[in-house]
Amino acid sequence: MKPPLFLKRVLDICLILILFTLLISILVPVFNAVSQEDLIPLSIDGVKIEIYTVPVVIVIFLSILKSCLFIFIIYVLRKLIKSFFKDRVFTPFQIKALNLTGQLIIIVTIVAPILNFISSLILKNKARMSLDMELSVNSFWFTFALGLFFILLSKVFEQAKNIKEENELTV
Amino acid sequence: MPITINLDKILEKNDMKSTELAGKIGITTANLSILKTGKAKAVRFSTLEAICEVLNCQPRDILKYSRN
Repeated sequence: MKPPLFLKRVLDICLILILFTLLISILVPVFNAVSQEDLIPLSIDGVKIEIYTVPVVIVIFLSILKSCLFIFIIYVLRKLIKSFFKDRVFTPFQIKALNLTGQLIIIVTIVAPILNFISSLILKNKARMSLDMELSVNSFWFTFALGLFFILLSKVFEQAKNIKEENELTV
Repeated sequence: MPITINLDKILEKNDMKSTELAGKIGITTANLSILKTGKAKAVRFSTLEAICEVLNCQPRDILKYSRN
């Protein structure tokens, strides 16, 4: 099998960009808090942050936590792709990694709207609940299905591993 | 497993070594070792046929079923 080099590169770029954004989102509030002035304006969900109160810090912390979870998903996926470079497929590691990726995607999909709700409550002082229809890949149901698909893929890999083992033990 | 392989005895009877048999029937020594140690999950008819031909025996001489 040809090593999935292009896929790894795409994930590398994705990881670097997210890490860079995360670093900035950590440094900007710290920088603003230390300098006591709003030198670099920070906004979350379109709301400009001017005073760093405890709830605002909590919102920033939760956003960073969400990003960390996302980074972890990309990290696991990267490790999974790297395992294909060794020309070994259907290994227990790959099965576990696919399952973990699926579970994490589902967790992020469920946690993200909750965090958005909390941040909207804190930053805009209003709670809003709506049933949106999204026609993009960012849709809740699509990402949820993607998570479930990864779990299904891990089950398929597990079956393939058993068949491969049986094939190897057939004389 | 209730199926046991009696290949060792037949090899001894025919004064043949495992590597020699593996070479004659066209399988690797590693695969023959899997068969001899009882780790194999399946045996192809072609392999069984080749073993019987080389060792001049019947499948029943190689495979034995014993109830646990």
